[in-house]
Amino acid sequence: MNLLGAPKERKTQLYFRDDNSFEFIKRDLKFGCLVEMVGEKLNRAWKHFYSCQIPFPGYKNIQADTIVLGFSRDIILDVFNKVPQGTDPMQKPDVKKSDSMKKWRSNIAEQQRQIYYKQRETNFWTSRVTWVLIGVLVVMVLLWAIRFVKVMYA
Amino acid sequence: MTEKKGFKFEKSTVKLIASAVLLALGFILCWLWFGVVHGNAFGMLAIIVLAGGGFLTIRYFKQWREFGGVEVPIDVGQDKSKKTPQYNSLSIYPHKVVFEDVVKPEGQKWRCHNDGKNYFVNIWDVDDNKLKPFVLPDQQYRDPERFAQQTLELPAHRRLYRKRQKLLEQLAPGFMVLAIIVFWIVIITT
Repeated sequence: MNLLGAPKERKTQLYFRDDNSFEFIKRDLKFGCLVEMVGEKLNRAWKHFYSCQIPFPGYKNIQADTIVLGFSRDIILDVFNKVPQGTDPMQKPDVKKSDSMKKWRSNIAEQQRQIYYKQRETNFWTSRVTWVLIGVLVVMVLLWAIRFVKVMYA
Repeated sequence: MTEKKGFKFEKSTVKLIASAVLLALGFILCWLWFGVVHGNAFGMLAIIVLAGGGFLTIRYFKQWREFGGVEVPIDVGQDKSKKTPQYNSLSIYPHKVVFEDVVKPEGQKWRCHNDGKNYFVNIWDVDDNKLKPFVLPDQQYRDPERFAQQTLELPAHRRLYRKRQKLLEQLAPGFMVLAIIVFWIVIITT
């Protein structure tokens, strides 16, 4: 049980916009995708493939990292065709086959259902909120006890 | 490439140490409040410093765990005191992405949001073995917003799988907050 939560995984994306501009953005890596969050809600996501990562040595204030290409209109930008085609979530769908995209999306959705099913187990004693409140109560009781003892024996 | 050796204080480490010092100061103030100085204003200051120090320590610890202590290798002979030269192009190769000067670049310039300058963007054509202007493809797979909201989020399925908590588990945080408030009143009034 990790009360502070697992450290976030982040990757740098070389993001191309439709207005002929680009940006190196650090995005969170979640569910095998680079995601853009609005609060706790997923706003946009791009599928992440390790074979699409390209080393970048850094430039000015842009940190060195292995980067992934992406743009605003599509979830996959594989310019060198490194990702094999297929319907598995770790492959990219074949655009020439009509049902490949449907099967690929349904496999990803099935994977998500399994993730959410595993996350459904909530335990009162593994909740961060519970332990923070218990910690505050313990500190307050200790401080009150110290003061009480001092007053009693003063 | 050689690795730069030696201990170096990263920004995240300095922030973590500063917040830990603030937390320790909060404990000292609380101890002083209970032992020496008896006053509500001082007590409130002690609690605020303690709570603020605790919050900042946890926050900077998470940041430090993510980014702290990683040394980025630098090239031999690279002089960090010199300003990075301004290049005219961003080139995308299968094995690297670099900013570099390209002789007679083609295509239009793209604006880089990170430094506000314009660059030609080129991509290595593996068939012709030369750099060509980078052109974005049309959409082939899925819009990123629809993919996120319809395929990844699955709001209806998440509601189905959410486990219902027992009544005691639901009320317990409220009871604990109430206990904290009652203790707070007892400490202030006694």
